[in-house]
Amino acid sequence: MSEAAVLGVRILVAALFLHAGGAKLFAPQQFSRTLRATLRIDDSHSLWTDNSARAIAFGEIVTALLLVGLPDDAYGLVLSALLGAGIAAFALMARLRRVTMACGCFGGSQGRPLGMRQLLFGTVLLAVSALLAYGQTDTRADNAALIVAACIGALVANLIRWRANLVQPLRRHLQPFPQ
Amino acid sequence: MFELILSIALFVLTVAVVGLFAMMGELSSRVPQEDVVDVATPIDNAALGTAPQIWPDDITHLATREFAALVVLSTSCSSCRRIAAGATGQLSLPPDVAVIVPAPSLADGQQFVAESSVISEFPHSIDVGGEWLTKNLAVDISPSVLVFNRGALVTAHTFSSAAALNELLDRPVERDREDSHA
Repeated sequence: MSEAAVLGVRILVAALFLHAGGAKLFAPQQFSRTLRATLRIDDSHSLWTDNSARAIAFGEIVTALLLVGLPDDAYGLVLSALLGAGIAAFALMARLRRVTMACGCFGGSQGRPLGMRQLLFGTVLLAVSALLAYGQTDTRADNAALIVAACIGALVANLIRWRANLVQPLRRHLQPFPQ
Repeated sequence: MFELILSIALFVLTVAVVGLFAMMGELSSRVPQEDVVDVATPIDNAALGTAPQIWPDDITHLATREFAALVVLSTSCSSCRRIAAGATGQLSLPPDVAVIVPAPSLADGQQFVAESSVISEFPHSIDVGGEWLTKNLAVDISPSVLVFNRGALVTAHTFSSAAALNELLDRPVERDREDSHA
């Protein structure tokens, strides 16, 4: 795989982890609820699952930073593969236990139930990260530029994620004239 | 080196901005919306035109009706809880409307119905794991409303309040009645 493609994948994955981690770090409630439902943990342990959700979010942020901040090392890719495996396993468990809650993977309580999409995403992430880690090559990448690119990606993903909430207060002014 | 420090500062700021949006999103989902009629949206992957062969026990009568509606209120969505508790307004629904409650277990579904001041007014059924909805109609989102014509799914929409649901059910039923009189 060419150096540009490898860096592109690293930036894309880092942007996703940055978006998911940043959101869950500050709004872990829905992911925490899904953790409790999937792992069958009693609601009285919500503080524990809230902190677990924050720890996972912190791990995602560190992975994002390693992926773009240290593009010559495999640490970020190994962490990314581990997170991919974790996402796939969590989604599979939720599906087997018939959990119908929204994942909360990107913060917020809205969204489709945890299931096939997360299972597929985790598996693809695991495969891509393992592939890139196995074929790790030296790059001449500018770390600062890669970090900025990942930040821009995360901010764009954030705007797309919350576009409905951003536009909603303006929607009444955008209605067509009555016929 | 200076560029690297700046880029890491941007990284931290990005985490903060993403987190701030997520917090606002979490808070906004807890605030009842006043202008909700235009929040209804079609469900893209619903299996329109499909007529389920098997219907849940308590709502089998819908399969034979010329026009019927099924309201989906899940135990796991906060909007559904608000609607089921009557917090978003009174439901003024046409006849032949039933409620289906996807729930992780029968007990969870029964508890949800028992706590609701709205659901017990209508024929209702509990769909354990949401299996009937997902397998037969490819609907896995709630709150939503499904309109049937002689058992076949005609339209599927999500909605966010009682007012939006009233508005949604008013239009297809009235239009269909006009068609049948013509």
